[in-house]
Amino acid sequence: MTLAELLALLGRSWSRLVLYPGGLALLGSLLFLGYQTRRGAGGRWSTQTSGLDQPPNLVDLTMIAAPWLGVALMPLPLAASVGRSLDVVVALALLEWPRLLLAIREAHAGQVGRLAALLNSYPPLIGALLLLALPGGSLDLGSIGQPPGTATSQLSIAGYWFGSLALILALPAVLGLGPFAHPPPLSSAARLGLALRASGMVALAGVPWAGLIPEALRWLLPLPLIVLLVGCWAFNRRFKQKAALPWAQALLWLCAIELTIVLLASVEGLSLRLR
Amino acid sequence: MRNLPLLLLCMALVASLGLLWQVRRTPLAWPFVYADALAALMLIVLCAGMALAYLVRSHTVPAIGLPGLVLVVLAALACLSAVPIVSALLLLLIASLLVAPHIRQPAVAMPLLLASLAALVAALGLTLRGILRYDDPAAGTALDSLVFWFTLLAAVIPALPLAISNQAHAERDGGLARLLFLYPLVRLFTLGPWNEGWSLAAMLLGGAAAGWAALATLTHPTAEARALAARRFFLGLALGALGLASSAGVAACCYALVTYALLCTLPNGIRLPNWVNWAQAGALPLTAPFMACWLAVGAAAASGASVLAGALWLAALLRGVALLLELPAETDADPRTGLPAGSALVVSGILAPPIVAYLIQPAVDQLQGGLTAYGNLSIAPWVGLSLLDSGNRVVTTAPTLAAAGLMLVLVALVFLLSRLWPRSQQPDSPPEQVPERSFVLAELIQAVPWLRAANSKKARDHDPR
Repeated sequence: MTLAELLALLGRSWSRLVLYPGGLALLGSLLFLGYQTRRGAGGRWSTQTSGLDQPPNLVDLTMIAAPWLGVALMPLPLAASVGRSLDVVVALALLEWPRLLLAIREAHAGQVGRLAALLNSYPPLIGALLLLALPGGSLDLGSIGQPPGTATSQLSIAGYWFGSLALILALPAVLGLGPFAHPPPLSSAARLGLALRASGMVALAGVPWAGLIPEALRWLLPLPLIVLLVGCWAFNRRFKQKAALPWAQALLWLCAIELTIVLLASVEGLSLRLR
Repeated sequence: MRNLPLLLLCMALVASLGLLWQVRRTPLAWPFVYADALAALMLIVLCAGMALAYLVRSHTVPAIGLPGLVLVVLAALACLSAVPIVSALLLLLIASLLVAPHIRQPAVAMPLLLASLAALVAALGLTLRGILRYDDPAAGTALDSLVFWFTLLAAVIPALPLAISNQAHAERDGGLARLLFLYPLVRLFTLGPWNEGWSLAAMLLGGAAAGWAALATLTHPTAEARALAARRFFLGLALGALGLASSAGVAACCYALVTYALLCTLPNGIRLPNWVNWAQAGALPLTAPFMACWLAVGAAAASGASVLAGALWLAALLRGVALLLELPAETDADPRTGLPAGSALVVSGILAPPIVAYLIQPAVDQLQGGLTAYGNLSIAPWVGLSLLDSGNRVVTTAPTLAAAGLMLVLVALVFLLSRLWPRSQQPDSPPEQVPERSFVLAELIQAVPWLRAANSKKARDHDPR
């Protein structure tokens, strides 16, 4: 690819960045934060405006820009094509940037809750993403969004759907809901970054299920996202005051099952290669 | 004359680059010399690392002097030697030079000496089977389990975070020369392909070494040892990727060695600015540590080694978190400390596609005879990198340059938007007292079951009873 094609790619990305999915996610996040501020859900943070703290430094700017870019480059249904896709490793790194930054800052202040939730969520999250990659043999986001075909082995198909389910089960720890909930951060940039990240993670969890919707019923595409959002809200309300440790142990068991399926699928692939 | 070592190192670097250009298509085979792209790459990495270390540490530790230059000369002879036994003897000489000042400390001296002795035994095995040159057409027939296991042993020992408390003060070169111990193992691909069992062993040992190093980066009590373990992680990563025995795996291994060399240039025991810590943690794409982990995870996924991919991914995240926990809340570090190394980490990450295309790809091409088809590279130097599986399907894609451009656009956009928004009325929270790292770690281990399990195993291993 030449320099001219790189510039063309950057030029074609504008609609993803400012319209769909990037612009829509940003707008949704701002509306959510505005609603949260009006409702006073943030306790002592409720007096803070939803604006960005002044003066903005580079780290605060990247807390918003990185998850925004991650969401914008996700190959969601109906998004404009830019010719290049993204894989889950890069997407996860971009989406996780604000949470990691915030968790480390809080850990330096002696509060390890967010960092513990982050470390508890990574093993089942990685396991689920590896299971989703089994049928296509690819970590590309476009590939994991496609349901497995009939030519794929039974184990890979079972692994794919278990991975889709495991991704949803890991969402409370990933999004900081219910027993993994934390007070919202003081910095508005961090709050906006976290909201953008959450929209990206929910979209990622919804992508495998969106693939089940037939072409004729494309208007139902937002349904998986709506169901997931309602489920997250209900879980958060029901389990907010519970202890996090039993849930963390349950996530570890979930990861063990994921690892077993990945291992079995790897052995199956190796035996096919040796045959 | 004070900067004479730097001048000589730069000249050696230019000569190595010239050698790579010369041998990028066909290796040079003279009576006692076998110069190919792999040898040139190792020399480039070593010389660039040494020169950068000189720049970073010239005002703190006089690390690179005559011993550093002698090391470069010996490394050049070892890498360019066509005779396996000569190469192994030179490696033994390098190890002896490195451990000579600490010969009374077995914990420091033994690992490198053992590794070089293992390499010597493997080379002896080749010699006894009548193989006197790496490019001997019959060399593949001499590559048996004995040769492989001893060569693997020579590569594994320096990658392990063994006795790092004692080594932290001893390794004045930051452990840069340790990457030379992986060279004999990579060189085995010149002899012929590996069998599946050897690949599996290299993957297991590399993954275990990387995981061990990541855990040591989080839990070791001393800061200098943690920094050492954080670097050593990339030797384990390189070994695990090499075990995949594919083009993508060898490329990932070489890029991990480049990253290791850059990290070795960071000074030990000196507080670094926050941005350098972030760059070396590899938490954000567009830095060399992130790209090295991405390449290894992608290469493992392309080879169908999903468990290794997951293990390396998790270990890389753990290492990143562990390094970031070192950050002071209010840094008083000199912003110029580590500036060359930090900049090199960022630039090498953004420019990963051209680095892989022009420095690493020639070496991968020349080792094709020993590699499998389970994992290939697709490089678009102006956009980014992709890794392909044996069916040429894209497994991972990292549009580094495109992402850097888009990130710049978005940062500018957020900055502009931030000027339009109302200002925050609430002042920042007052600075709180920074708790001890050990306190934070203890709390974290209590709250994360898998970390508790891993740490209790380690604690049992260290129990003096």
